[in-house]
Amino acid sequence: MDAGIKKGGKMNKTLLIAKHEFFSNVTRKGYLLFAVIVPILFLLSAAMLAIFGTGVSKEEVLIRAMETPIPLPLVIPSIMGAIFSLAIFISSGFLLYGIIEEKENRLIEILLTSVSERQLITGKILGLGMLGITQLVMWIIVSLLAITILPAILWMAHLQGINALQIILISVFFILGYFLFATILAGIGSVLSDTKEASPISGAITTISLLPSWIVIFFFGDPNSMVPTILSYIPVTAPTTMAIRVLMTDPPVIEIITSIIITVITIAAIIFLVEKNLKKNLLTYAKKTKLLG
Amino acid sequence: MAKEKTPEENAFAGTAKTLQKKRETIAVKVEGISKNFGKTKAVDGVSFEAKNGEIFGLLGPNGAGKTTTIRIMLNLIENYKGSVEILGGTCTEKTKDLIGYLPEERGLYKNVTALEAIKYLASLKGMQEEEAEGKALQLMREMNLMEHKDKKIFELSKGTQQKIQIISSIIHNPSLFVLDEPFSGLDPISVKFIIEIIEREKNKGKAIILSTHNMNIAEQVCERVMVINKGRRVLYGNTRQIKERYSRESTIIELAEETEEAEKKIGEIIGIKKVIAKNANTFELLLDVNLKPEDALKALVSKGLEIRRFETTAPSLESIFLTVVESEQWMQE
Repeated sequence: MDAGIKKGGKMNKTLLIAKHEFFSNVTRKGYLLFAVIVPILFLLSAAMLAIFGTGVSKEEVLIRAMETPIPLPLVIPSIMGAIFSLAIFISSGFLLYGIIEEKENRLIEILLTSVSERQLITGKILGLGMLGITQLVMWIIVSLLAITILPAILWMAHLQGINALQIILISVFFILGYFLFATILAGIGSVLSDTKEASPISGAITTISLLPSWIVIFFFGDPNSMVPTILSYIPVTAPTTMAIRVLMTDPPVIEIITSIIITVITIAAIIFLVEKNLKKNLLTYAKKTKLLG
Repeated sequence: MAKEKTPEENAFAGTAKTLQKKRETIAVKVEGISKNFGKTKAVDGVSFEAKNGEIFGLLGPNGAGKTTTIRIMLNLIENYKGSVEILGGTCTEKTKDLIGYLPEERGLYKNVTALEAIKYLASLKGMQEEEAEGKALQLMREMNLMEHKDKKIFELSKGTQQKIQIISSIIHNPSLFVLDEPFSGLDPISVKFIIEIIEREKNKGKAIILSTHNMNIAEQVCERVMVINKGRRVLYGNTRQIKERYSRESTIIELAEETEEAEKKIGEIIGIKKVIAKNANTFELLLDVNLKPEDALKALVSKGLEIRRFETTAPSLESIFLTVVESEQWMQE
């Protein structure tokens, strides 16, 4: 074998792609805004409340929280659900636009003559998944700091009793949610040929994924009622719905397991379909003759 | 008594022998490939071989099926008829590290620096980071790109981006180079440099498949060529032999003065298959085998044209290309 060529193991190339995806997206404005700036603002708000709200008793906080037009114990899980969905969606959105961009500027041809379709997609999903997890970790750190500064947040959100099992389950649903949306968007990216086409579709999927966070306000008075239960079984709404339900109450174990199984089966089915048609679709792109996409 | 060879001479003779042996081996063997896109036949029963240690020209007009042929060869397109053998087998993940591919339409990640872009693509070909950086800097130095190494890709001119991409496709020392229109948009100095690189690699025993519209370069560097048109192979073989085969048919004439109707008048002469204007008063004529050059000269004079030079010559690859593409005659090697 010629000098200069060292065998790159299968995993190595996947990890190289993952590393590249992570570092080339971590400095994007959209990511920095949501993963750094918004959490810092949140923390500052908590600090301000802590400074100006001293001397208020726990009971008084609870009464005030319940007296707001929409009770805060429902609003906070809703906001958390939205953060959860957006964290998933921002990372998987990079996957969608990344694939389309590589198709538009023909880098896809160089990539596929260097690595396999599976290495490419797996590398991207892993790298951007790390981006999503980094984002979530940032929010967890900020939330812990906020709670330390302002314990009233926990009372307001009825989260005093949050335990390790709940955190594990929420993490499981976060990872499942990320993989679900990442595979859906990878599939969409592989058939689309233009970033302009992607905007309305990604908008529609964001809306669907955020649905549970919005309707939580109306239906989550009883988080185990029919509407949240049904949403827990629909693949695109299941991860967020279950994460919110786990946060607010103790959903029946059978429902948690069913929801996980449905999501896993959906992910597997999408991966199967995407891989089967990937090469065919990856080379379909709009007829453009520009050097850069 | 014959002088004994030094170890160096023996080593050189051994290397030369090995290289010669390598040159006889086939790097790419394509047999009867066909691919339809809907009702369009993009490639229709194309076969060819590219050998190690040669530059093989893949020529054809726009939309002839060159890029589809390359994509089938590199396993970027599936579900085709026919067979492809590349570097001794099918195109696997291991084979990919041995191929350097420059696609026709090009692009790079916009938000990374030139050096990072090269290093990343080199790493996907199995190169270690330090090794990739060293080689990238060496090639950038050779191509006078050092001032651009830390600039983001979007800040660079198209020509510079193209040079970066050429470096990315050759950096990993591949055994097979597949270069689709590598010269388009490059200045003459860069074209010369690229030609030097591919000739150097050829001399090392590497196989080079060069798809280009530039017939002068193809004629200059390709040992063998294949012309495809409308998905079909219309010309295939050794460049020199092809030119010899057409040599009696080509004539260069230079007129004493420029006349507007000269090309039309020449074209009217029966037996002149093609008139290619080289400049305002110089034309290359392809003669039918039944038309002798002396008769052609008489016919030109009888048309009132004043001839300054009349020369029977080997035709340019361009004129052969235009003839075969237009007449679509099928020729076997």
